[in-house]
Amino acid sequence: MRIGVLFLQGGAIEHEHAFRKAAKKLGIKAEFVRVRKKTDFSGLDALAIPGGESTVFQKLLERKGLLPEFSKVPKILATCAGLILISSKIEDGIAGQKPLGLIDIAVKRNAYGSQLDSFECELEAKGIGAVHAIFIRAPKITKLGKGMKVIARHGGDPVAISKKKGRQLILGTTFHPELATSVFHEWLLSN
Amino acid sequence: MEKQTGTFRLKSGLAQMLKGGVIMDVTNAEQAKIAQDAGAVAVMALERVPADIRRDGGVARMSDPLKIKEIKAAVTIPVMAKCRIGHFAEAQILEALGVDYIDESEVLTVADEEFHVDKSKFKVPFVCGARNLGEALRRIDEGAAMVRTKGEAGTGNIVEAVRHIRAINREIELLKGMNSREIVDAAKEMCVPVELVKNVSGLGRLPVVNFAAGGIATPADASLCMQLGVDGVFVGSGIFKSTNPKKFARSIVDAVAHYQDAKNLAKVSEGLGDAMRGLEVSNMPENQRMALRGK
Repeated sequence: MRIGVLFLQGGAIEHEHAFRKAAKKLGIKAEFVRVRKKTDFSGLDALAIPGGESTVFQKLLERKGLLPEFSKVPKILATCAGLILISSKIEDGIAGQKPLGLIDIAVKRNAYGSQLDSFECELEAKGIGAVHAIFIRAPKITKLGKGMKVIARHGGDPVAISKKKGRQLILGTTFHPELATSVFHEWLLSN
Repeated sequence: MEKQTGTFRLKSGLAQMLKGGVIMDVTNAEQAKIAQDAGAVAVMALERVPADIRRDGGVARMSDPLKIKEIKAAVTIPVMAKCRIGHFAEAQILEALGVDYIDESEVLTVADEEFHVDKSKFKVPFVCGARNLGEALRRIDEGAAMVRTKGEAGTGNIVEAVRHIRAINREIELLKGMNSREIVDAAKEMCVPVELVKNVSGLGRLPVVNFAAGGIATPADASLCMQLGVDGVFVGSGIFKSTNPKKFARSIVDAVAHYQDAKNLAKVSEGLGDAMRGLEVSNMPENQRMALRGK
């Protein structure tokens, strides 16, 4: 398998480590790609879009003409800012911030408040089990489109979702699984 | 488990999300917007950039809370602010204002020559400057969740930041080859717990994110620091003391994201106009060296 992590800005290496652990556990022979330019997307089987600043992702991807590349990747794990990037509506985006619309959700950025409101807790994820979830200046999913599966909730809000759309499987979290576990990476690679 | 806030993992985690990014000094809402539009990952809210602090002299203190609120209201990216070294009351005010990160900074006048702020007592994360591994580890031991080089702020001269990055790299390399006896000695010498030194020796890097700061004025400076192994850069006076802040800001963002791509660097370095004027550091009297504040 060819497994990539978008490596422009944010917590990218953490995803690479989690993917390595997941691949080893599943006995998958994998090649890892640090995705920075168009050619890095070719032949990818899976890609993680990390946490970071969604406004920065947008600008860097736009400047390099990389925005259309994501719809071709068969499996995507999008965490926090990554999830904002692939959503279909950002309720409080900055001027010119247009999400990719790969999944039909609306999001609100920094919905819990400032860094002082960042938190960690235990969650129950359907088909995955108990997980430790780290929310850092996290967004909230404010609207769910049709066919979206909710994998985990916190205080009633969906915080992990998945969607199979044509040949593309997307797993999205508003928290940071890569800082605590590789179980979400395993789920993506084995589904 | 109950919901937890203010943990070290949350503090260092935010710094992890800033990696590969540029944190820019801004002094008003307009500059903050320029920084955000250029692709800054965070802004540092200040009354004066370091070059002006240097020029004006006198005592440099925490910014007016009104200034910080103005900047917070202007952007959606994280907002950092500086307190004086050891001035925990300024830090408490910044925490009460809800800033996302506090920089306990040598750019401001030192408030306590003996103690830095006990950062573990705060819910808000701290970043601190360091010239060498000992300083970096003492700050981490006090609770800093992110480290940056001190460089020499407000000079537009990269030489000190490079010295500090190389010093930390070299000292970590030495640790990697040490046996447990030597690690105990190194810990004693640096006045930090043995466990922390063991951790660094095993990891082969600092246990928190490390940015370059102090003297970055061009996209090439930013790329140099990234290639030497830092996780991102702070640009203080380098943007708003240049002749074309918008262009400089955007180019430095591109230079950090694509630091290994020399063709891209050549492109983004083209026709930028004048970088900040800059100062020679080697003949600067010690009392003007901000990096020598705190140890």
